[in-house]
Amino acid sequence: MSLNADRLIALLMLAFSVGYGYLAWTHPLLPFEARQPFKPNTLPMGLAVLAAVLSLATLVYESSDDLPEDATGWRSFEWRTAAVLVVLMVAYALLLRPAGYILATTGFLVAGGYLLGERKYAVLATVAIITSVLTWFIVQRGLGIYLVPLPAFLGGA
Amino acid sequence: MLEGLMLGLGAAISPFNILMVFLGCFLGTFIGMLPGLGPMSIIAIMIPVAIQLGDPASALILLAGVYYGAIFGGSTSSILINAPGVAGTVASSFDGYPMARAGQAGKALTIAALASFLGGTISALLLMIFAPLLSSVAKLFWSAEYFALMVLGLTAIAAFAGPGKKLKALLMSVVGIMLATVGESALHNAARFTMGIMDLQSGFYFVTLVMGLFALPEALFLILNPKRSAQQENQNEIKDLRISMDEAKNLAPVVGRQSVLGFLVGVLPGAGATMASFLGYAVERNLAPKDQREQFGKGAQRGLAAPETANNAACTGSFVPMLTLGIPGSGTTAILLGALVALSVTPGPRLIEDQPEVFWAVIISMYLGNVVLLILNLPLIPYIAKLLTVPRQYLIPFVVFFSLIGAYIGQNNPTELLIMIGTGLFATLLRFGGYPLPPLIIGFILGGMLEDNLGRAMRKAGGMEFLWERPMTLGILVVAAVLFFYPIIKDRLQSRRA
Repeated sequence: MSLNADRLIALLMLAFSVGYGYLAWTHPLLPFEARQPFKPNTLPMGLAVLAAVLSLATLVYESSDDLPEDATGWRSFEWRTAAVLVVLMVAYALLLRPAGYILATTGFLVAGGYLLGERKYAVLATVAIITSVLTWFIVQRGLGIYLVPLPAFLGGA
Repeated sequence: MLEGLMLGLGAAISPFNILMVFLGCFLGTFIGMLPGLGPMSIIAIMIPVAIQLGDPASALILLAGVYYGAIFGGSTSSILINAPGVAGTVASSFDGYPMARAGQAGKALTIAALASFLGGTISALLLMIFAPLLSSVAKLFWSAEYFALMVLGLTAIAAFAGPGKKLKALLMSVVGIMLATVGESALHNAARFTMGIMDLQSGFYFVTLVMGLFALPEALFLILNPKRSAQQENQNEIKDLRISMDEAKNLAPVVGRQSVLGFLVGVLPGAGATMASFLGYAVERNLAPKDQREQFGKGAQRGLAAPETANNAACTGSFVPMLTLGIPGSGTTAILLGALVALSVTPGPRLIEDQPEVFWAVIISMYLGNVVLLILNLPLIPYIAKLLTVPRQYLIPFVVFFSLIGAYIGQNNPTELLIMIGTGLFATLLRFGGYPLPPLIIGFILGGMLEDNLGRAMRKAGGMEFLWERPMTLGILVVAAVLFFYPIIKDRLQSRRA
């Protein structure tokens, strides 16, 4: 029996259930809540026990050494490209407000397209700019949801 | 009834109203395709426009068009890019997306459009016949029965679990309920399990989780596995809409059954389209012949037709409690109820007697929305399906961008994006371990309602006695047990015989 993703997740779930169960058990109850048949931690405690039992049962009965369909051929996967895309997503989340919606979105779409092999820069930039301006217009003007369009130094605050 | 129908027709049909329904369907479909903007938000946005129209029939017709358009738009993004923006269309992605990946996007969208239309048609007929009677049955349902109904909904996990995955599916649905307990609940004001993070005070946001669980891992897998992307590009039949006679014969009983089941689930306040679509999927998987049952989750046409029929039928069914009791059964009907009140119409037991023209106009306008949607969208399907031929260097960043922005605009908070990315990475790991994700989101969606109803039932009974003291609760729980254990026992018996 080796430690593959299947068993690792079952163990992670077991740890998660124990942690969740501890938080549920120690959840502070108000005096009137403690006397009620249904407390804020009644269901969570039951869920923690159920999840712990199911994690163990999965580990024993359902984990296997066979790779699931999604993981087949994982050694030849493009890990680096996927990791860079995740970094781009995090950067987009962090820059959305300070850089403004239009700049952050254009930057994300251009960088994402470049990462995946697009080298027609003019087309990529045009598509990105049109998409960001159009979606900003729909969301901000059409739906009335406020999105900072540009960074503060360009008057977007 | 016929007299009422004519009154409703008279109020609903005019060139202006027909234009309104076309406009509503068109706007609803395109805005509904954006993840995060479900029927509820789109109708809320359109209410001021509808009220400006002044005439209740015109306003309702516009809103009905938007409603059905948004539901179809949501199904489209579920099927084409595995990004279900609303809970009601999550089940459509289970088989709709594998169909699209196998080069049958056009067919999948046609099945979705036709199944929705037929579900809407049959349930509209049921609504006309049974509305007054059903409202009295719905009044019999208390928290204990709702709790049992949630348990019944969760037994749907049996339907999603392939061989050797039943425990994993159960575990995932329990984890989903655990995630639903984060933040404040309807019964308790103090937030739980927030770890001091203020943004979790009101719990996880549905769109954030659903995008993180479905759309992001799919985009990551398209990058990770180059063969997957190659499959995506070699699709010649995506524009083919044709459904063969044999396929139609295979789907007809599914549509018939799910129209009735979806309608009945929709009648119960609080159950709604989401529960109907999951239940419909589970029931059809259990009823399907063995060879077709194994295809569920891999692109089974029955697996797409069932939730599409059931969710549309449930949408129509949810008008029963709204119109006859004045109780909105779902978020969307709550907003529509608000619109009706703003238009000086008061839904309730006396509506059908006091304002029959309005009662029937609502029904007719809902149906008109359904018809126009089919006329408008069938010719558009080849163009919508062409979305899949977009090169991957554009498709993947756009799918990721629309998912991120869907989560952002719902809450206007960048922390949602970080939660979504974290969920996406976790979901990718789960897929590497072969853990099914649909049960997790079902657990999350039903978890909040399950806890509220369990709490109310326990407080009323002073303990767990309600489980065996209320016959209807016990009956539903027995059905849930049968639905869950029947496939397991059947498989065991078959493998023993073999």
